[in-house]
Amino acid sequence: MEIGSKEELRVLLEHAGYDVPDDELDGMLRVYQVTQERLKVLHAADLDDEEVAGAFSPKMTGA
Amino acid sequence: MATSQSELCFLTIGEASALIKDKKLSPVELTQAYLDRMGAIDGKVKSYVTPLPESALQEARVAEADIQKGNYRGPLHGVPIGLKDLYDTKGVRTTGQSRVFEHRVPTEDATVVTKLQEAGTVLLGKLAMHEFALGGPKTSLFEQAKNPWNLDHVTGGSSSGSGAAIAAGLAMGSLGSDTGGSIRGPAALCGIVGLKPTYGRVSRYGVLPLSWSLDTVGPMTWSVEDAALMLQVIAGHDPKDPTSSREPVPDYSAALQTDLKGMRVGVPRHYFFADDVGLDDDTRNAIEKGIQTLKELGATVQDIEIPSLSALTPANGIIMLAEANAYHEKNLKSQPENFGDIVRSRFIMAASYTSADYVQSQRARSRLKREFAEALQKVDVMAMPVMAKTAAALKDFDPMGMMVTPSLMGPFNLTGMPAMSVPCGFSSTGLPIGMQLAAAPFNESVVIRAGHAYQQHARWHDQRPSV
Repeated sequence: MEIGSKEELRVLLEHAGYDVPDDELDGMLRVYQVTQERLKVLHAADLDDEEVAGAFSPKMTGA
Repeated sequence: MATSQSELCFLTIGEASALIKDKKLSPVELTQAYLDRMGAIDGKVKSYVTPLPESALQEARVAEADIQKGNYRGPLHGVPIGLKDLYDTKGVRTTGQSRVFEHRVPTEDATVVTKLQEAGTVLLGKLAMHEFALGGPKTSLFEQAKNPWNLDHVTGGSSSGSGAAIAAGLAMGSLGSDTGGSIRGPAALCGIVGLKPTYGRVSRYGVLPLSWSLDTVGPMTWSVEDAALMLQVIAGHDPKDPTSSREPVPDYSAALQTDLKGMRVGVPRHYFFADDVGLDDDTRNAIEKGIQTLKELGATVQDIEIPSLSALTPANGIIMLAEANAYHEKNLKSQPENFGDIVRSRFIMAASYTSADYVQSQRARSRLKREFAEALQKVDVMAMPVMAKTAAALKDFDPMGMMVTPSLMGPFNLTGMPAMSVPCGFSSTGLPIGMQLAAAPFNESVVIRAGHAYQQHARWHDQRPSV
């Protein structure tokens, strides 16, 4: 399957529970491809031992 | 006080509050002037989706009576404001400008709404926005606001009505919300001031979320002084918001100085002025002149490097949409037809992200925070453009536009830093341009100081659009 293809996007979204009409999928494909390119760069970045930004605190419970 | 409607509606909060305090300006007279102006021109600007004329006049009468009795509450007492339609207002429909929430009437006020009420503000109404704080000019509910400098152009988003209302003299102050630039973008394109505070500085309780870990609440006003006055009221810890900070709130008015002696300004030129940003000539020239003015006011200016900015900034969009998908998932599946096309497709597309994408984005955020912290050892404030271009014509709006060019605002959502847009000139076609100023977390005072000194010197805010 081609990376960033319409078929790939359809399968991913169906797996997530979304049945997207074909014409709408056409419109989403360009955004998907741009996003995939950027994700490639993001995953290629050497983040060493950097942890996730949002730190969980057991005291943060809200009202 | 015998003054024309436009003179009253073009007062700043600072100017009006001094008159109100001295009982030289009646909050009822002021509110009526705004309501009259809304009746006269908001049919063209479309900044309000739910005007509240009766309750506004009632609130103004109460404010006036309190002030007459000597119970003056402070600089926002009797000041007419508008709120983006994602702030919960008890008994008043709050829609996020989406058909999904067309009939949603909150039973409780957002914390910031309560704070503004306690400060004595007068709520003129709820303001237009891009659907669910994302979208574009076309939404599933209500018409979209127009840019008062040219009604054929966009306002920017998502706080579209907030930007338009302030620029058109249809509110003295407003609140926007900013997840990837939704305060600063429309502020720049509408020629007003927009301040995104530090993440956690202002409570998000009762604000419809786009992204829990990125959303910030902040003022949109005509002057930097007004933004400081509004921030003073809304800032502070809220036990109802688990991400709300206990960091002490300083006196922001103390930062309203008119010189920048000793201030160190950094320009991350390698990213914000890079070719792929696509700065238009008018914007580039205006920002360069703005930076030169900061120097003339006593600041030292140097270029700075944030090494990973280009590679890691897209994390903002990944986090934003992944969290938005989680919040809207049930409605996206049960009533997709009630979302506007742009919002629906982008929210749904986030379901294609993997857990690794989201986690890597949150790790990228940590790295960028570290790199910005290192740069902020060398400088006090950063200066750069807000937007690459001035407001597009409505007919030319491209929802893909912001997807394919680097985000100039997202870095400060990722890092949680405070950032402001302050007007810095006009294009050859008369459209406003904004300069972005950012500082270390919880250092809003530095941003306010730089913005105020610049504004008082440059005086772009002396010009008003003719609607």
